[in-house]
Amino acid sequence: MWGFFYYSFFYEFYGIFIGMNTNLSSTSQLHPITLTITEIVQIFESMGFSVVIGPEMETEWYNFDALNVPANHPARAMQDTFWIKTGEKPMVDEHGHSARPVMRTHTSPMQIRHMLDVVQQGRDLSTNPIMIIVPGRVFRNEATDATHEAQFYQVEGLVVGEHISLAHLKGTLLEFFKQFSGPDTDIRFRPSFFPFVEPGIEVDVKMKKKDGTVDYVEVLGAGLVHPNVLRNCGIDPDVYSGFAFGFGIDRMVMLGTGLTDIRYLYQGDLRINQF
Amino acid sequence: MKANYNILQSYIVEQLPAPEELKDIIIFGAFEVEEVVEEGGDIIMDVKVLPDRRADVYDELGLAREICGLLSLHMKDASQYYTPSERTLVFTVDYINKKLGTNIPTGISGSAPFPSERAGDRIVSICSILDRYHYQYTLDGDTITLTIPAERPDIVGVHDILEEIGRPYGYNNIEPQLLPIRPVKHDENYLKINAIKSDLISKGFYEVYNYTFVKKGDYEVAHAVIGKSALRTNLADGLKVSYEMNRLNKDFLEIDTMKLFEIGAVFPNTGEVINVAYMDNKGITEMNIDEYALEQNTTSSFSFGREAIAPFAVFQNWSDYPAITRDIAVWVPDDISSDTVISIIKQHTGDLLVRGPRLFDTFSKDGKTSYAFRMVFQSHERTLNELEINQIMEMVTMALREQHWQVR
Repeated sequence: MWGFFYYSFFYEFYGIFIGMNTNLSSTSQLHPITLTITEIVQIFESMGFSVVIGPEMETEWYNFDALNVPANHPARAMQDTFWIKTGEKPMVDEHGHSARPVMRTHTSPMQIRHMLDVVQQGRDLSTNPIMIIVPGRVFRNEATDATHEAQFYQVEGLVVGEHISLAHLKGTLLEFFKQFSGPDTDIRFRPSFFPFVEPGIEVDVKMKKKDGTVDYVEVLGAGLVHPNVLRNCGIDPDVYSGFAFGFGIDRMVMLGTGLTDIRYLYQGDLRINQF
Repeated sequence: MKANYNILQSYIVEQLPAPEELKDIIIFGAFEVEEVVEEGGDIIMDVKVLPDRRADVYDELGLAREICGLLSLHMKDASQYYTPSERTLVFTVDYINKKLGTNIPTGISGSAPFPSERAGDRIVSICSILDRYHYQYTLDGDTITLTIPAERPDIVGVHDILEEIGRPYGYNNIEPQLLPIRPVKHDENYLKINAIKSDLISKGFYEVYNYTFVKKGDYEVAHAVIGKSALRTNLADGLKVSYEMNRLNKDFLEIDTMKLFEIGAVFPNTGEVINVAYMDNKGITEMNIDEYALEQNTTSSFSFGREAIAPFAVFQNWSDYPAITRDIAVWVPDDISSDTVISIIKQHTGDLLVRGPRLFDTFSKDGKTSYAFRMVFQSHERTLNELEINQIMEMVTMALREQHWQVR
């Protein structure tokens, strides 16, 4: 009982929360996803990144068109995406952009919103580049099983400024993973393709798995922001460039802790609060 | 595509590296290779050609051409290199280097690549890379005018050239560079949510996450999972179910008074909002985060202290068999600590003990201290019966009495 009161006073005095087990029980007061996002944010914050969050229900333009995802891209299909039923009326906003509502499939639409805001504020990206991370819940229309859920969490990052390069992408991610996974970690790039970046990169991270073996694990998609995406936000790709990356949090939690079933994270069951 | 190693080799002058080595060269230079299998004397590589390259790499010829570029090898039939289209692109070497973050020299146009030059060795120049792929181009100082191959409809703008240089150069040869640190300014809502979480935690609440998709709501989703085709309009419905479930488990969870909260987006017909809901034995309250912040006067500039999943913390899967809770209370002299008593108890509780002994009550009177402990027993294989737990508790009681302590 002494321990409980001591911690409580300490928290109020400092105004910050240290440790999750105020009641000295084996159950944490914060959910593992919250803990992981907090850790990720802390690291990126120390590198100069700001957090931006946005709506879970998006529109087609922000989720697909603005991100250079072509109209016939499989990701848009019914099987992969949760379109909201609107009863046949065509939906277009004042810019002529599709306002068809959809549950966001990534947190990238908020990057678009942020870039548009920044441009509207007349910010000078050469002296004040965009450096943001966007955590949030995203939705994919997939059959649910131990490793797939219809909802999960992502963190995406975006940097836009002058002369932003793949070397900066590598430096940023390497620094992040050295802090997140330990100083012995390493990353490697592989060529890949995503509609919203060019070049597209798949990033593997060297991690120690639960069985003790060390191996490279595919963790993120990344790349230099496609000029069409910058243009859609009113940013001139001949003057500015940027990089973007994204990874799934649930998978990180599962890789890091050996959690075998992603569904445990969303059942409202406090037994998952064991970290 | 399934690429036959021997057919690949048949297009190329020089000896290809062995299949496993070639697989890695392709993976780090161009495309994912899922597996290499031997099928009746042939070696077949399952190459996952990226969507934007399916026009030129759909058979062994296209893949052989790409491999020649990556490894500075030669096609046996010179007509099988890229052929020119009418389209051109103009870019500078500086553009390439600025975007890749490299310092690749321009080089001399038309320099024949040496067969011994391999991907992963330091590439000599931009020109030598373009030459390996037999691109047609002209060089004027720092400026290159490249004729886009007819086989490459995916090359549309100068940004598409970046990977044509970057891949053979080797992305893993790029030296990492750090960005200068900028002042940070987080989203107001993010800070508000954190402040609310901190406030609720200080009041003893535990956080849960529930599903966004529910049976009934104001927004319906097309082609959803049967029975869960609407967006939740509130957090309360889900929280009530969680509350009951967790309350039944409270001994295992080591929570004496169940207090739950959730913060998340809800979708009433007025539009998406972020709500907070919290529930304890007095009832449930839900409101949007702005209302809560105002009501509780939570500070809006709040960041959590640095605490996270401990590195390598291992997930402990729980049993779904019912648990049995037992309490024991004992009077000890004032100078005996609860830890001492716990260590004696644990000598007799065995493998079925999953939680505790946890001290949940203590008080002192007349030179003696009373400690009350709670223990939870559970098996991963079966439902326990009361008798076997009673036996364990008898052993514990005896051990405590042996210390001349009075068990209550």
